[in-house]
Amino acid sequence: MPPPQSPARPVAFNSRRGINHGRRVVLTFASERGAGLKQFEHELLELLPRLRRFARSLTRDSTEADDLCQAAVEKALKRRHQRRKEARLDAWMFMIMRNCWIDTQRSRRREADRFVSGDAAEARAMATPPSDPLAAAALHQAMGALPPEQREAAALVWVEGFSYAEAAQCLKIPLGTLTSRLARARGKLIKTLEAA
Amino acid sequence: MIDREKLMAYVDGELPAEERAAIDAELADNEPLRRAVAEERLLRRAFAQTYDPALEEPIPEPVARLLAGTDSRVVPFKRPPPAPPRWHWQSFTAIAASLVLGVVLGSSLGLTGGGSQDQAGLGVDGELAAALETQLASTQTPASPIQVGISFVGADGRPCRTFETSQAAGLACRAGPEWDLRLLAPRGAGAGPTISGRAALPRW
Repeated sequence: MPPPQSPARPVAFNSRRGINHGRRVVLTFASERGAGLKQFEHELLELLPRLRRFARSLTRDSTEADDLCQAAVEKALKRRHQRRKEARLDAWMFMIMRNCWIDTQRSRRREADRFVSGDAAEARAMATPPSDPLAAAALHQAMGALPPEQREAAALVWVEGFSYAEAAQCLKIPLGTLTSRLARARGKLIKTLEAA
Repeated sequence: MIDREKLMAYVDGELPAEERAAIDAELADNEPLRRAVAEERLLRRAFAQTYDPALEEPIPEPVARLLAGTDSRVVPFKRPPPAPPRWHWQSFTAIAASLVLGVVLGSSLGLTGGGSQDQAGLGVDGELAAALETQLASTQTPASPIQVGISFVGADGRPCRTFETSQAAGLACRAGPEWDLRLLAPRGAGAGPTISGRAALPRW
């Protein structure tokens, strides 16, 4: 009685990733795992605290922010070859994150349309970050109430410290559009802070 | 009268030097302007107060795992287990034959370096080892003296590749940092069975 046989599984060799089983990488030659990927991962790791801060300013709570971080990092790892050499890593990453966030917003809107009225969805306040002082909580609430295009402009400039020109370039909008979005956002935010 | 948008740009350091200097000069005697600037600065401080704490928090574990490199996302070649693989009796016959053939054919394969014997079987080095290690079946040219066939993971978890030269065909499996020759047969009529592709796979 021969022992049970497990059939050999033919797999494809791939110069970059070693041997692939479907989509999952299971084996790779250490020599083929380029120093480039390690360097990229290292740079991303260093950028992570800022990515997380940016995510917090866009999302309702820390759980959602961490999910957004994870989605953005996953996408960046997949798309690292698409990054232009001259592109700043932070700007590139923020835009990946912003696009992930926009996608989430869209699907949430579709979900909200199905389950709650538009007004109710809008009234759903952003969860207050724990242990934040009053002003911080008020600001976070107010950020959540901003339209997405104002919120992302505010986050890039006032949270991440991008110049107006850098933020406009990131968002691919004219400088004047950016400043008017910022001006509208600041009006609403200051009003909220005054009331807090 | 300084409009709100200009004031915002002033606080954000976005105004040209001369406009900035003009506002600086006016601030001394203009109380409403001072209050408006203070209000703007309060907003910037509130941003820092609200979101900067995120910079100090530990990195979420799933994200750290994503960036942990070889530790999680990619599994490097593992060394084979010390226990011998389960052999089918037919495999013994095939391997025994290949050992004999390997020794006999030895230098006649046109492979510089040839094979070297060790306890695990016939070790592979030189040109053949280089081809097995680096040559892609999809990109190799017909002119390559060694043609790599298919690659697969054997039942014992080792990566294996078939290969052919003008005079022989064989199967080698990775053992630690080296390749072990598992099967070798001469090619061509009269010289014995020709082995290629999946036909070269032993049954284990």
